[in-house]
Formats: sequence, structure tokens, C-alpha cells
Amino acid sequence: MNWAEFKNIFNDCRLEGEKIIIESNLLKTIEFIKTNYHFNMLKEIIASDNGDGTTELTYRLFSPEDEEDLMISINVKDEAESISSIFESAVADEKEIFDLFGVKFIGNSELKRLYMPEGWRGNPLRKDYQENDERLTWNE
Amino acid sequence: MNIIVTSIDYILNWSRANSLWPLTFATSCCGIEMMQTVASNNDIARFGSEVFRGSPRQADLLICAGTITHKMAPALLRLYEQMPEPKYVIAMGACTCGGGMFAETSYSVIKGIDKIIPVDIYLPMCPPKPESLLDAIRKLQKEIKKESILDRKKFTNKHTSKLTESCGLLEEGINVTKLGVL
Repeated sequence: MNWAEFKNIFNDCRLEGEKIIIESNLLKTIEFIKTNYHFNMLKEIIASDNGDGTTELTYRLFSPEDEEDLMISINVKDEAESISSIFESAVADEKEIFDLFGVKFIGNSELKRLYMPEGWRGNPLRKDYQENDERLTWNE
Repeated sequence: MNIIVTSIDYILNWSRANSLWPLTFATSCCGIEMMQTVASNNDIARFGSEVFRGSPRQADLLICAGTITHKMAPALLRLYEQMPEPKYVIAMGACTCGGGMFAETSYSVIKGIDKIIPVDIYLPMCPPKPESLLDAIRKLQKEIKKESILDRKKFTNKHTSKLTESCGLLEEGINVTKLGVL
């Protein structure tokens, strides 16, 4: 895809390496990219804790026609827009991020714990995670 | 009185030790070794425990073969509590003994199943060879032959049922007491 053209449409974005960093309007941006540039496949969603309360979400898109990769990343606090209305495969990825990072995806229909039991205290992959669930000491 | 108890013990222990029916419970790679133990090369039937049961109500040995996560723990506890007395547990593999390679940093793995259920024999290796499992079963048989029915009651009282308190089954709307678990 053409970066200059993209930059004209979305003003609040910048290029860092091969990654496009946007500030807001995640849902609109990804929908635009999917319809106009044929990025029809969501490879994965990567999350990483920045350490200051924000989480960086990176969406890896792939265009099977052009055989091209695209990474879009956004910094969010506690909530993010769900892209499950555009890519259905995002439901499971967002569920996992909700479990391990505690980011709530607005619009995801299946937002509950995936790896940890229901009602677990804390999100294990956050940097400030403290293991203090009562289930850690079952019989003691 | 002592003589009577001793002879009852002898007969009971002999029959219990030589016909241990294990429960089919394999959660990860140790299960492959357990299958190998059942197969013809290492033939667990030589020691009288070839009858793997699919239901915990017919089993009296729980070979816990594989990592137990916090999400799996209620299921393990439930299976254990469904088994009738006398019941024995072999913790097979490093993960079930003390967390294994997940002991330091994992957030989802239970560091040793002895936090949930009482364990008779620990078998730490990653994974244990079939010969080691046979050895564990032989050691368990020796332990069973030593015990008395009076001791067994004390052992039973050691494990109090934890199921309703912290497993989350009640939150999911399943009535545990109605299922006959407790």
C-alpha cells in the first residue's frame, strides 16, 4: 500500500519502522484498510504492557492478493474497540488479551476468561501483577 | 483382637495391592509414557493394574500424569472425591510433584498437586520412563501391604472436601451436591 496516500487520509498516524502507529479510530482505520487495500486476513493481535498503565496493541494484517504484511499499533488504557465485527477471528485473540492483560474490548461478544479460571484476581501478564488469588493455596 | 485385625489386614491388603485399577487421567506428555507402560513392551498387567477405568467410581488408583493448571484443578479434585475408598494417588512427572519447569515463572500451573489432594507416591522425572512408573506402582503396593484398616481411616479424615468452597462450579450454576460429589 501507498504510505503517502494513507497519511493523507489519516492525519494522526506515524510510521515507525514497518509499524503504523495510530492515536485513535482503530475500528475505522482497519475497516478502511480492509476495504480499500485488500488486507483480508488478520494474522494476530499482539499486546504488550508499557509499564505506565497503557497497553500497546499491534494488529498484524496480511493481504493474500499482494502478499504484503501490515502492522498497525495503538496505545490503549483499559478499553479498546473490538474489531470482531470486521474480522471474526479477532474474538478469540481479544478474549486472550482480556484474560492476560485486562483490556476490555467494547463490542466483543465473548469477553470472558480463557486460560485462567473464572473470577481470578489480576491479569498475569501485566507488569504489576501480584499473585494473591486464594486458589494459589488450595490445601494450606 | 490384634490377631483378628492383623489377619483381616493381610487379606485386604493383599487383594487391594494386587488389583489396583487406575483411572484414565492423562493431561499431557506423561500420559504418553503411561500408555507405553500399558502396551506390550512394559505390560503393566504383570503387576495387576491393567484395568484402566474411564469412570472414577470404578477406580482406586489415580495416576496423575501431566501438568495441572488452576483451571484443571477443580476437575482433578472432583475426580478424586468421586473415587471410592480405598484410593491412592501417584503424582507422575515433575510438574505434578512440584511444578517442574513451570515452578518459577508460570502463572497458571499449580506447583504440586499435593496442594489439592493427598499424594502417596511421588515420581519426579520429565517424563518418567515406563520402568519408573512400574517401580512406583511396586512401591505403592509395598506401602499398601504395610497399612492397617485403622490407619486408613485416619488417612481418609486428612482430606476434607474443598469442592463447594473454591472451585467455581457453583458460580456456573451446577448444583454439586445434587450430582452426588459430596
